[in-house]
Amino acid sequence: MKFEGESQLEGSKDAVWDALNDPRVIEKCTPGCQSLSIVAPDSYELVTKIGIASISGTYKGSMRLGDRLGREQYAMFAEGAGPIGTMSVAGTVALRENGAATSVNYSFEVQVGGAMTGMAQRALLPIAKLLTKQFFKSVDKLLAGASLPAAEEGGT
Amino acid sequence: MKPKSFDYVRVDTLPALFAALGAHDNAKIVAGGQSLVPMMNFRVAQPEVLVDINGVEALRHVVREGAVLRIGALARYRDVIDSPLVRDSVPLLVAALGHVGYPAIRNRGTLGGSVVHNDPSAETGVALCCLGAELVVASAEGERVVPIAEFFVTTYLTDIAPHEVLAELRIPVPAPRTGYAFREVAKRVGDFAIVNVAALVAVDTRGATTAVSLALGGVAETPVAVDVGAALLGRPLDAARAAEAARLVDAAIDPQDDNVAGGEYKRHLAGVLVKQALLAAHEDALAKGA
Amino acid sequence: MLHAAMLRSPHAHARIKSIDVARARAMPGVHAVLTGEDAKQYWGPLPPTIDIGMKVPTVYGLATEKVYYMGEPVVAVAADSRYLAEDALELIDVEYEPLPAVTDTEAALAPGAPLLYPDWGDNVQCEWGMAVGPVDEVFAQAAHVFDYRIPQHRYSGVSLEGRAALAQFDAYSRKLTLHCSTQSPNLVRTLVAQTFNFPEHDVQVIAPDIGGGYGNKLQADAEVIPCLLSLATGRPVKWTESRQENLLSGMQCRDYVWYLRVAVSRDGILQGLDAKVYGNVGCDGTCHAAGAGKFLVACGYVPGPYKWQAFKVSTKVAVSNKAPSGAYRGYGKDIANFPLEVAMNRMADALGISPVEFRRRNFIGRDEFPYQQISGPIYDSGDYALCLSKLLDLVDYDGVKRRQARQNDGTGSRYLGIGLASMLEPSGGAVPNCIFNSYEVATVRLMPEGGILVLTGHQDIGQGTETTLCQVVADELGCTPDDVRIIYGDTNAVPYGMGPWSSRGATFNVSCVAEAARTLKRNLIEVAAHLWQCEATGVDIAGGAIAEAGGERTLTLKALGNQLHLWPGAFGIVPKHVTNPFEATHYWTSPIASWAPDELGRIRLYSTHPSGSSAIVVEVDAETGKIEVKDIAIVDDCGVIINPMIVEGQLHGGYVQGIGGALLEEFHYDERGQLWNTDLTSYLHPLATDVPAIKCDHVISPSPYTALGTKGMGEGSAIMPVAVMVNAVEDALRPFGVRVSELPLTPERVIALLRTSPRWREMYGAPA
Repeated sequence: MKFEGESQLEGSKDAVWDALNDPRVIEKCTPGCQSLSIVAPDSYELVTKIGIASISGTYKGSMRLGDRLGREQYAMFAEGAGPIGTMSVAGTVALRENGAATSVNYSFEVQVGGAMTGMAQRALLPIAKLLTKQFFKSVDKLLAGASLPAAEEGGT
Repeated sequence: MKPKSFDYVRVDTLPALFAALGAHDNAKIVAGGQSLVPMMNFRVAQPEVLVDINGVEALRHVVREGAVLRIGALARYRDVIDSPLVRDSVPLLVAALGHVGYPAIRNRGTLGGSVVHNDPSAETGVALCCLGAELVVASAEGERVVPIAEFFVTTYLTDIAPHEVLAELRIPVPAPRTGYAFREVAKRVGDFAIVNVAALVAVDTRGATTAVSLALGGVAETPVAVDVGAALLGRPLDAARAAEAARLVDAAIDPQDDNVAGGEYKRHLAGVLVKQALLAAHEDALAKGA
Repeated sequence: MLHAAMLRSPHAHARIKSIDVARARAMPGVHAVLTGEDAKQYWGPLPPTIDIGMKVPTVYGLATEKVYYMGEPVVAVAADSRYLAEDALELIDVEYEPLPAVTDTEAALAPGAPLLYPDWGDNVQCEWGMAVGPVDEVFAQAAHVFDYRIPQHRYSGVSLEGRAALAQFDAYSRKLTLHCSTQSPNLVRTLVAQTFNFPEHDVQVIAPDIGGGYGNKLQADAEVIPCLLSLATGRPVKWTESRQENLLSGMQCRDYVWYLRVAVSRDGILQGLDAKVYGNVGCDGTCHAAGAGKFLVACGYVPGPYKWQAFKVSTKVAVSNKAPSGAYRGYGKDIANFPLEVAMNRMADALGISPVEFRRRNFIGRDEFPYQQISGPIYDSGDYALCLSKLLDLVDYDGVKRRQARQNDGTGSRYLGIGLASMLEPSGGAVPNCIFNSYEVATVRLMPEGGILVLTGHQDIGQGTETTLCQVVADELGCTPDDVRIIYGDTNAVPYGMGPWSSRGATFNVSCVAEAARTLKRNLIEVAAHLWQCEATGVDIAGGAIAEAGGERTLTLKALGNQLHLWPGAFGIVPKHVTNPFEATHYWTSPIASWAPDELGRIRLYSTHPSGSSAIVVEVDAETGKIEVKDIAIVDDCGVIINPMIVEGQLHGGYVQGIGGALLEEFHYDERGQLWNTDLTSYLHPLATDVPAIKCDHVISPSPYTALGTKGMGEGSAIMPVAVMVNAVEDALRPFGVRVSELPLTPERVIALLRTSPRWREMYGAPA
């Protein structure tokens, strides 16, 4: 399963680049993130509490950033496990100047696993897309200066 | 599998419902439970509190007010299918709901529950998209009315907040000589549809199409309406017109591979069912006008 | 009573690096949490259920160093409720090191494939082959040689009642009692005793009437886990598997690919068959369950009901990262039938002969029995041509063909087709070095008050054992069926029997019970004759009473029972030559099976050979790909019929299961070994709405090898339908020249097949 998307972030390419590569921003903006611990540079472990419509539960996962091309593109690999099963997401994030703002283009490959009900299988890709959109929206808000409510459950 | 531990509260009025929702962070409304309970058993859904609204009479009506059919969110599929009012004014809905599961599911499941659950190929959602329905969402603060296309956000996600309840479906009654058709392909009787199509066609005295509405399920993250007016309006709906409409639909959709079927097959099926549904709806309109 | 839940592997193939159960153990309501290492203080590896030249892995009820399939149990929990036990599972942390997985059969056999058991050097659990007759010569001289690659996917019985077990270890008496849903309580008792190194006579297994088995419940695999937890806690532990567990780790079946090479003469006479089958038993087909044996059976029966001049067959049975493979209605006879019957229709097509005529030219004739097939088995009796003729009448074959000619002219989009196949249902298997062994034992007993009690090692799993045995005993003994009671399913009460599989009910069990009843009757007649001082030949039992022919003396069985036991009692009444007036126990074994290879190296494992033919009429929608079953007709020859209603019930049920396999059911594992069908919205059973009323007819060719001339008939109807459906769909879509290559035949697969036809693309496939 693949998905792609684009988000417009208010901020210079440099500011956006720094934000996306900053674990403190990742922790604040990952939907439902309860904690992020740094295992090694660019390698994090996260605990998130998902609450999207009916689907809820605590998911543990990890994230790695790397393969940077200048300050234009980086690769991201994330995987999580929880009641719905397991999911891994791998792909690239590319930044492009768009006037005073920055266009962020992402392209990810999703793999799912674990014994999940057919109902959950249907929702996984849409949920991955939604969480990704929410993440970039939160980063955008953060760059704009708004503070985010603490320990927000992902999904609303 | 067994669900995680949860508390249970039963409410009989809307104020009591809003109070219960307000009092708990992770509360979920349960009505028929036909979608929610299996998700809880698989631990995919883990509400801390279930608020049972089966006793809220205020949500159970099926009435017609002028050109609008108002169906309370708690109306069971069975009630709607059996209602002479619905059969008379919106037969498309009856045709669609007959494909929902089996009699046991139709006895318990509610239209409101189906709409809020928002499965990509849910017959309720596809029919309501075609009908251009509006949804009334209520909370302690009052009501808001949402057009159905805006209500569907993505798979299993709709524009409803944890403190809100879907109160009513408002369906514009199609004009008297509007023909309808509903087509579906599923692996077995009662299964989730692979692809389904709902169509409404109105014609003038010469048989030319004056209005058309088309919606599909199973080809996107949610049920979707597709505008095929450009191919059909002002002309009789023959096989060539239907094929042209199918081409418009094909350009508008991008079905994905999933555990139900591959995207290529869904695309093929959409083309087949769109043609069948449009032609059948047109036939129906002509018969009504005769 | 405690409840069990198991933490199961999310990976198809992985090393277990660490398991942390501390938080689970500390949870209130949890009484035991055991890993595979913890369990070793209670049990040893799972003992083999079959070993005929096979590689037997060392595997345990809970995974130890590695996991071999997604869903394999890794940690077992016993808690106050199933809810709490599942909560505890979430508190267990397992660290896995995923390994490359292999699921496809031929990929598992290819060099360089990831190995499940590295010390094997490959993924071959067993291989075998045989050749008879001038194979090379026959193929060199044949007018026609046909080559086919015919695969079948993986599916299984998936009974309404899953596996369930309640284990009670009594620490004081040191006895273990196991209630479980199984087809073979005696076999489970032996296997459990072996697994735990527990004295076998201190294990009691009780299995009441169960909610379906179909061959899936013939091992002690998951059942050992509640036993483990009961031993560890000293309390009764109950496990009822969820449907998800049943689909993930219940015994799976089918899953193979055949390469068939057939030599045929100019006038359509079969000459030679050269066949290879590559089978897939998932992580194991010896200890978890006895799945490996079915490919050996398939080799022996792929010649089917036809005559051949030369024959060569071989099999390689592969292990892969999927759930273990056991038995399922057919156990190899289905594997043999499918490619043969599909090939018969395709060859007939190529030769320009009707599939009916092609079969008729090649059937073994009714006067040729007993017939030794080229592969070794001796077929007892049958009339294959008559089954086929009756079938053509039953389904109105000619009428369907006429309708087809009118309907399939291309003006509509629904195409009519009819498929047919013949089958052989070898029944009453007797396999050496295997739990599917060669005998059955039963006791028939006269009770003090005159009732008749039957103690049988057989089991009622929904096939009507209680009814048919009562009929048989009543018939043989001369009482009424109401006088008879059957005791089964308790290892403390019944003789050592194997249970129902391989359609043994109407072969081994009925023969055994009939012989025991006959012996008891003879003894009771001797007693009465002695009592009345008359000739035994003049005495008979009928209607529940023993009477002197033409005389006036008569005794009800109740009166006789009273006299013999207590009033006055046996002393002085029983003639010296009657060693047991109360009961008779009979040990029955197949008179025709043979484990000693003959001069051509062939052995014979099956006792009787029921047969039949069937047809399916379908309508295929060329636009949507949906297949509608319009008519089903079955003609079955199971020898003497004991109960017609039960026979028809078995035919209906088995056939619908076969249709499920053809159209709906599938265990789909992706390349990472992830199973996608873990609930009943994704593993689809056939429903009553999927089939029309089924027409049945019968031919009766009694077997000379069983006590009553009965043959078995639990499997035949499940053996045929997949081939018949493939034949029907290929017939319906003849205008497009499709050849089915993948199952099940979902609407999507049908459209994918049709896409390969230029004619279809022209008529229906124009892109919108």
